[in-house]
Amino acid sequence: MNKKLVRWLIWILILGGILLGVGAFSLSVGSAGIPFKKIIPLILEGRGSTEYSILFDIRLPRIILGLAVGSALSIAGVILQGMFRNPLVEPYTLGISGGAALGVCLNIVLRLNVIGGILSIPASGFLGAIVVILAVYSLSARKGILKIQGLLLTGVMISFISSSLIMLIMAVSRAEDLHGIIFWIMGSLEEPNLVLIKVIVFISVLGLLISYLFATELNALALGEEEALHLGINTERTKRLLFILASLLTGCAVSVAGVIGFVGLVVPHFMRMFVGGDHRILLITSALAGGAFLILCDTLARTIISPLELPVGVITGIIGGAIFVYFLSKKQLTLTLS
Amino acid sequence: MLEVKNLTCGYDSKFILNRINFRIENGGLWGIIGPNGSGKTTLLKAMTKILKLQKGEVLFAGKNILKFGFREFAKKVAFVSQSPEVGYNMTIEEFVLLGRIPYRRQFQFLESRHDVEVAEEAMILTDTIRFKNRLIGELSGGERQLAVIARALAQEPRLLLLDEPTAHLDITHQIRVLDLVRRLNRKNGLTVIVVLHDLNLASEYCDKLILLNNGLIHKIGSPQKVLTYQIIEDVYDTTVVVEKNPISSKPYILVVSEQCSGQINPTRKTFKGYVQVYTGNGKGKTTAALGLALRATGAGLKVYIGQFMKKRNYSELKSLEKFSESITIEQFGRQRFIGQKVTEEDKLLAQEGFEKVKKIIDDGKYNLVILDEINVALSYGLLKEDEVIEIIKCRSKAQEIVLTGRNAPNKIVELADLVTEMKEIKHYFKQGVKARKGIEK
Repeated sequence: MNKKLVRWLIWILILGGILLGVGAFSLSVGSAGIPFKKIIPLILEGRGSTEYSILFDIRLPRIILGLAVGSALSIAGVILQGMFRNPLVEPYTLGISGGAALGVCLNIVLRLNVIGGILSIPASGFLGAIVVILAVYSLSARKGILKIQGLLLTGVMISFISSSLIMLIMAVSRAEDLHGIIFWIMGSLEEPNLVLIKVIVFISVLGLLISYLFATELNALALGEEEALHLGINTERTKRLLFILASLLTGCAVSVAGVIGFVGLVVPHFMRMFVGGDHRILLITSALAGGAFLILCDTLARTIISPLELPVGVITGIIGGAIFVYFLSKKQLTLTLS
Repeated sequence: MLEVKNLTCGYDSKFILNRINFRIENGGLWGIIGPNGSGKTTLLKAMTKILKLQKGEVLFAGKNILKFGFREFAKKVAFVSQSPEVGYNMTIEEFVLLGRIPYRRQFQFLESRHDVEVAEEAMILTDTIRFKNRLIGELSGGERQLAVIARALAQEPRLLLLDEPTAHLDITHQIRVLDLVRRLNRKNGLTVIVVLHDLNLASEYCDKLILLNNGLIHKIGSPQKVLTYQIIEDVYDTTVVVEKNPISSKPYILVVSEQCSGQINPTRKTFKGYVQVYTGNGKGKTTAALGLALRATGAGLKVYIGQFMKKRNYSELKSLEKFSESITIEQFGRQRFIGQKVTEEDKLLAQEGFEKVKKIIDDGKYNLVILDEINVALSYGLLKEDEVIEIIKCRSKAQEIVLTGRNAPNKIVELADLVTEMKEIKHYFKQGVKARKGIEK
């Protein structure tokens, strides 16, 4: 038993190290190249220089946001995969991100954020996410078994519907709103609003803590719902709470950073390969790795065609989409999480 | 220990199980057997809160199981399901430790020393400790089944339920699993209920058997009582020979293929009651049935006559009073002649009568059951064909059933052993002659 704990701790340390490394790398590269060894003297010098301000007012918030959004999406991915017992579901493939995006769009166009304040944006993202999650679940659960293809198809269709609705909204919206929507929808970690960054950081940490309380339940659910019941898990209550949690994480992440696909698919999958399927370690490592992955993708996005910037969703979409197609083409699509 | 009272349940308002009653004492090893679709797995699900009951209740240690919390219940009752999923790939030890989940406190994420000890013991009992560090996906079917039982044992239950634990296993593993189950029962005092498909294994290992058929308990008792060829042929509709196992002297069932069934002692066939149908448009169907009833009483058989759609003043009522010890007659509904319309009331009366007949056949006290004019009631749509066929099929051994009335449905004709069609060649009614008392009525 202790051996296992040691192994887990080593993984956490490794991933923590990778996260720190990626963070430092991201801090030092960019259109204004600041060599790594200059960073420490800059910190010691303190406020005042332009370079200091680039590092701590522009790059650091972005890194923190990347960490928070990346972990939020990965945790949501782990939760959804655990509940649907299916390695191909995640906020994006189930259409939950699309629902959240629709909620945020409505918010912008109806100017609810003017009345309700900046916090109404994550709130509407959450509402959009939870509507989709309930729709997908009730549609797929009615047939008794959660069939993988049906589930994914439902998710893709819901994504289509919500992106069509978003286009409809864009078609009828004012020019000044349009710019905001387009910019945000492409998925970017550039968020000038510090309050939103704080909110998403808070939600991610909270999400990790709460989901960790359900690590045992998720382990039991991996055996199937009936088996979990036999192990004394109140499956109905657990599922309800976890759905709300996944919606909250996705809704907030989307409302701040736009639709960033496949993070919740790729990260848990690789973590499962390395650390195993036990949610007690899978949740922590996925959160860490998700943060590191998104920071890395974002760094790529803003340096590849520097000084121009790519939306980070493009990078994750290409990497994640390719991996997704690879999995789908593999013959054995079992429900067990391997 | 466990008491099932008047349990009725099913899926989507369809009843799969009906009026199930039994009681299991501490320390028993019970088997549930029955044909496919008879409700065995459903019964287990109903006993473990997976399935909501539509009627009745299940008591564990005198307390309704619905009053137990999920965790509390999982500490008392463990379930080994049919071909269980094993979740993500983990070692056997991790898998068995999942059985300790009901004992985990809030905010406790790691297993305690005690948890590990209990899991270890469960693995020793099931002899899975040898491969405790192997991955669950690498195990063979038999080893996996043992691991699942070990996980159930880690719950430290008082009652262990197993759903076909020997399915898809070779004979070595079948015996290994069931030997283990019996050892747990005898040595560790665990009460066990096991659903088994294989009647011989059930006979060999279980103290008591519950035989389910069509969602009803067909028979309950020791293997010697339940596993007789009459009952098995009745329920499984297959010819078998039951011998004694020379070692354990438990019943042993040998199947008889169609090719060899001719070699079965022909006297055995008479044990199952015949189904006779008197139909056709000619006169004398009821009369023939009454004659048969009279003959049966002479041989000491008990007769029940249920008359559908008949008026009350037929003279046979009076004559049968003289045989009231051996013949019971009941009448349901009003007389309707061919072409007359039937009403909702007729339907109700007929169905009420049918319910009574059903009970009579279920009870099996009568050797001859005559359902007079039931074919007419069927052709008027007062009764459902399938329901009638079902009660015919449910007849106990040595219970003969006679159905009379014109227009017997094809399905019933097919099912019957003897069908007589009365054909009208001439009838004095056509010359305007009225019915005569004692002859017609």
